[in-house]
Amino acid sequence: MSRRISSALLMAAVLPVAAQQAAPPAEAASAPAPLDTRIQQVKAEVLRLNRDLLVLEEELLFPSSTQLAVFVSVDVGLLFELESVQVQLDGQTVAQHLYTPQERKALQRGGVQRLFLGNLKTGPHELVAFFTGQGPHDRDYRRAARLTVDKGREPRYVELQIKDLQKKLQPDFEVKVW
Amino acid sequence: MKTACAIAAICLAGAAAAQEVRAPHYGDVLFQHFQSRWFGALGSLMTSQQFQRLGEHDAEAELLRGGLLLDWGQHDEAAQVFEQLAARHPTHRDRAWVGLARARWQRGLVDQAEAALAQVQAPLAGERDDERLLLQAQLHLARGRAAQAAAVLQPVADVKTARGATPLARHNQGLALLRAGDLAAARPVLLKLGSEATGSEEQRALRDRANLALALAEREQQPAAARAALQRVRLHGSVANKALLADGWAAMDLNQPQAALVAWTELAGRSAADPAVLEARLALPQAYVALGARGQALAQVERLLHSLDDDARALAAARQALHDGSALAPLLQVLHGYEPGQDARIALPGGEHAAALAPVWADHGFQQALTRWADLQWSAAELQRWAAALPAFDDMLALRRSGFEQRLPPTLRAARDDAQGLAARQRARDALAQRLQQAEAADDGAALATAAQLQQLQRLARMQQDLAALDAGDERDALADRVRRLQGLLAWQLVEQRAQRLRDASKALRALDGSLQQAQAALAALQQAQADEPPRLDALAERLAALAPRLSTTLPQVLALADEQRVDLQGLAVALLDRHQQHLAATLLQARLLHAQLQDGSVSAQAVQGDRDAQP
Repeated sequence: MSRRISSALLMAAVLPVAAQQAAPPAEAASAPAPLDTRIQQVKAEVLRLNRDLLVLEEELLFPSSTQLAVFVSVDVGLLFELESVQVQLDGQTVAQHLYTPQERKALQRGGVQRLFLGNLKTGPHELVAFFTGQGPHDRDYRRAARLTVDKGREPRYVELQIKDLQKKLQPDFEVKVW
Repeated sequence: MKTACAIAAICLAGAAAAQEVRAPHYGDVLFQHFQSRWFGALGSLMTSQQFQRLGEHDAEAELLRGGLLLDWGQHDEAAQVFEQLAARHPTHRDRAWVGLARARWQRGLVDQAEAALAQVQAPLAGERDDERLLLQAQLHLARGRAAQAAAVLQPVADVKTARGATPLARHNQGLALLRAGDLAAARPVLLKLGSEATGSEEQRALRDRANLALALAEREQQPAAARAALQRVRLHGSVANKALLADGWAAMDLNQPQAALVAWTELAGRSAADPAVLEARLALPQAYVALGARGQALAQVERLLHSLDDDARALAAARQALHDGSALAPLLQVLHGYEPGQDARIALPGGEHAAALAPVWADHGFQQALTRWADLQWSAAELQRWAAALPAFDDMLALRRSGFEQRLPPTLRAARDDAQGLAARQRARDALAQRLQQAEAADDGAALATAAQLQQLQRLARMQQDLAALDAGDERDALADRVRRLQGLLAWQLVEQRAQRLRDASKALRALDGSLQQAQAALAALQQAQADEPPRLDALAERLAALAPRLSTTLPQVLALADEQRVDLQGLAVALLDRHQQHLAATLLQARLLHAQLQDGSVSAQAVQGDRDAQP
């Protein structure tokens, strides 16, 4: 008798992984629970509200005529392990960030972090970004990238790019204005 | 769910690696998505879609939105997104059909999922096709076509360099082959996966499952091989209890009751919430009997009977506490700080009824219901945060309006002032241009002289006048000669420098024109703003006013649904406890039977051995 229980139990353990993750059987799913449907509907409204509020917030706090956004991206990222970034605008520190392993991984997979969103008057401004981290051979590394941003009446997007220079086996830091 | 997400992540990661991000805001969405921050990613994505700043990633972003919605349990909306994409974007239609098939499969709609997958015309690029094949295999399995499922997975499982989805494909292929009854083909697949050194927890869990599956398949014919596979299962992994139980039975099959005793004693000491533990406690006496230790077997059964009584009492108390609501509330506290996507499985916190509720907590359906409740709580917290921020938006709007009203009129007045405004600057510029034109026409170097040269010219003119007042003589002649030579030198310099100075002056005039144009453009923008800004601010105020009631309507709905979901959760927990209670009752019955058999001597080492041999 014990063995029959055992077999039933053990077979339950060997269902394909995804099969176990699949939702309820078709009969149950064809008539979805009203509660589940209502939950989906209200969550959809939450998402729409969140979007409308984010859009309004951006239009209100960062109008396009003064908006400046600074992004950080990593291309490959084998020669430099990013630890922190600090951004200065006209000598004032406006953003700094310490990276978690999860964030570093997300950058290496192609994600682009929006590090700073702010307002800037029209005209030229000096932007300096300081990168710290581990360079080749686990050496501490601190580098800066500088750019004069000519702010017009359109939003300005600046991307701080960390690239691997395979020829020199050194990381390279570039600034791209979109 | 975690693995399903992993499959999606594998495919999207592949996409990101293969494709350059050509819009930073799309990269920002990916940044959040890669950290499984579903809500943040969806917010950024939908905001950027509204601002139309995703550029050429538009269709890609919509695909991602569908995937994120699916991750967040929004199956219906995700299906709509994929359906629209499949209809509108020929370049993305195949991926959209795969997404739709996934959405339908997760809803348990096997027919519709198969129909969607059948619409895919060509294999997807690179690793994206892995998701399609994995899904296809699952659908085959759901239809009982195990051999076809195994065949479909072959291109993903049988590769020299493992891709992201390869371990899962190998695992599922092995199990599909077992289901198809082809142990000979399943063995190398599962053996390879089960012996690999792996990095991530997910892969280690797959390795454990592969070893367990192989062991269960081998046990009947080759218990020694089964034990070898079970030795590779981690002692504290997700299938550790089942592996220990199986190891005990395999050892008994090999007539090694001592080894069975080791495995089952370890398992019997674990939480009785797992049916495998109960079974181990029930099996332990049989191992003692096989060793001839009847007294210990009897003592073990008596301990089991006591513990089952205790468990039944704890279960009844937990059930009562669930009914009056006191059991669930403290457990739900653990979800404080929950964020969608961040907790693949919510861990059971300690507490009075924690042990009794462990099987409930471990149930997949309960976890899904719990996640739905947690998502609603998260949504409510987000809405409350926005509700608190709205007054600040009102203040900001008022500040902008007053700043605009106070600063624009004087700025415009100054710019329009005839004496000092832009018109005056334009007149001054025109006068300068005229002087330059005259200088150029007159071939007059003096017109382009520097301030120092002009002073020198004036001094030489004064000297000329002073010379006229002097008496004639050698001294005057000498001085006159010196003045004449200086005049000549200065005239030479002016002529020599004239061309360069003309060029410099023209350049400076052009720069002045540029500045004046900029000033004119700024003035025009200000004049435009004078017309546009008040209605823009009014429109913002209107939108703000419209959002407030939406917030105040939605928030109570979310809270009410969360409450409903909590009640549902409570009912589900009670039903699961009832099921566990039935299992306990069955175990109790078996334990009593065994106790009686041990007492009347009807169970012996030979009988246990005979019973084992009689097993098919």
